[in-house]
Amino acid sequence: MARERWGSRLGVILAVAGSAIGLGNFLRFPVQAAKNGGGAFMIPYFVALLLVGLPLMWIEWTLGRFGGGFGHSTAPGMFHTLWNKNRFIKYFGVIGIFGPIVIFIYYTYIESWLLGYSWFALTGAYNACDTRESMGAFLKTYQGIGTNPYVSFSTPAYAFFLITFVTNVLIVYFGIQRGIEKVCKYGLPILFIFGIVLMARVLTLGAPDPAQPQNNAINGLGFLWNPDWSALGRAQVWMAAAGQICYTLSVGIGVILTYASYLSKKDDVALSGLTAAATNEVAEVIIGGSIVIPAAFAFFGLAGTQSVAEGGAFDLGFVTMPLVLDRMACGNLLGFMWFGLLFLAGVTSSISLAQPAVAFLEDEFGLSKKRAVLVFSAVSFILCQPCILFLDKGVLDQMDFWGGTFCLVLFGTVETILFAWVFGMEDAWTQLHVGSDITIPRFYRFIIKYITPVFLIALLVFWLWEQGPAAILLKDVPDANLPYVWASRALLLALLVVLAFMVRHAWKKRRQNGEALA
Amino acid sequence: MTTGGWIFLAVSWLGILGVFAYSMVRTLREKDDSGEPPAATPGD
Repeated sequence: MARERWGSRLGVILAVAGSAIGLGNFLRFPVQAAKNGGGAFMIPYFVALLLVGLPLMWIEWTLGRFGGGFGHSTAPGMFHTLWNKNRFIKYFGVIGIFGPIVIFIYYTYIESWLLGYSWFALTGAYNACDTRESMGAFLKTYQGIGTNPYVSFSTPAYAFFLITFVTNVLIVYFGIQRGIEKVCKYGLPILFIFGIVLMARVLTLGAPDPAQPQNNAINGLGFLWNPDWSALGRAQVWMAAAGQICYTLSVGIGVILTYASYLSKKDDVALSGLTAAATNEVAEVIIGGSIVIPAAFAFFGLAGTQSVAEGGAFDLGFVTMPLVLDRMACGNLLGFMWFGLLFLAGVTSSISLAQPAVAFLEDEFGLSKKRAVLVFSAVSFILCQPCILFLDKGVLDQMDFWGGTFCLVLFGTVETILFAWVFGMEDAWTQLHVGSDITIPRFYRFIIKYITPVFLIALLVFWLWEQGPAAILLKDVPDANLPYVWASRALLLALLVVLAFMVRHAWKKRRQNGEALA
Repeated sequence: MTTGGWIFLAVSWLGILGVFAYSMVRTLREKDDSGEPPAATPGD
């Protein structure tokens, strides 16, 4: 069976950028920046981008293209190819399939809310909500929270979830060129147009309330950008910046490995990785930083924005923004653009999360695309249900903690060490520059070998020290939610074990068939 | 918005836009390549 390929170079760059550009760019970044020193946050942010983000981007593009040359699209095969004397390394690669599946199963549900809210914005369904309390209640009703003591279910939310889920699997079913590449080629430009229109509207708001001229969008930019130098002395701020970089670039998950595996020998990875990262940064720092916080500041002032920022990303996206946009002329259209933008960002990310598992079934088990997508759809659909039905019981938080936070840093650390130390910096550097259109400065050899792994290990240790005990020992989880949380942990562990057995089985089968294992 | 805020904003935006413009122009200028999968040697 011929291996799939990308149709164009711009296509793969937009697909990787689409994977990176997600809800975090427009909701998580502004909240993190506002909470961690404003403009001063950008110093650790750019340091982390240069020392962790870009190196990881290049590592994943290079490893992906390298592994693709041996017919592997996912981490178990790639890691085994890199270190074929170690029989256990392929099991570390399981994290590169486990993480994307876990994120996919909760991310798709959140993405479906965005589709639902795009529809509500167009039809004016939430126009009657004019306070944060009523908008918050609207969201809870939509999610089905509080209507039943046992499950959180609402028909509209489930209907939009089904549409979103089917859309995702159909795109993946259509394949790399006709599905993922095509969607990203059209979806990302539309996303940027929506983002620029919203940004222009917000920045020209002035002071909506003439009685309070200090509440304006420019002072809102100040809330985000005015530097608090004392923040630079706090380790937490540096770790928050490094975490944001890993999160926003979609590195350490395994999806870039899979996307890059569809490149061919002569395809550049150095410039493509840089372009994808730069595209993501435009969406995050320039567009993402210029919409929600300035808009919230103009309408709610300093105290209101502080409280909104403390409320977190969901509150900002689903409660504050619809309220703010509703108060502007053409509010329904702007609301549609806001949720449409987030939905497009979500879709281009979630399809990248589905692809590793589908590719794993195709490559390692010889399944056809149709059968691989069917198996993935059936399993992930079942796994989505606890997130939907027990939304307020902490299930989604567990998925996010293990799949979207812990595994991300752990996997990034492992692949960096493998690339720089096991594969060897000499070979790694040569691979990185095969077909390259740019020459990466030589000091990056030192950075990739020493600084990036040390930075990632420090991030992992600090995070485990600071937040690990409370998160692992469930200190902040109400007693009533404990059974649900433990059940979701058991589910995640079962998924991890099943994937490890699948890897074992695939390798055993290959050995029996006498196939080359590398 | 303080002067410090404007400086951080301007430097960040210009830096990002500069790298984005450079890398995108270079990407669009280079023609697409397609060919054989990489014939690399597995490491140990």
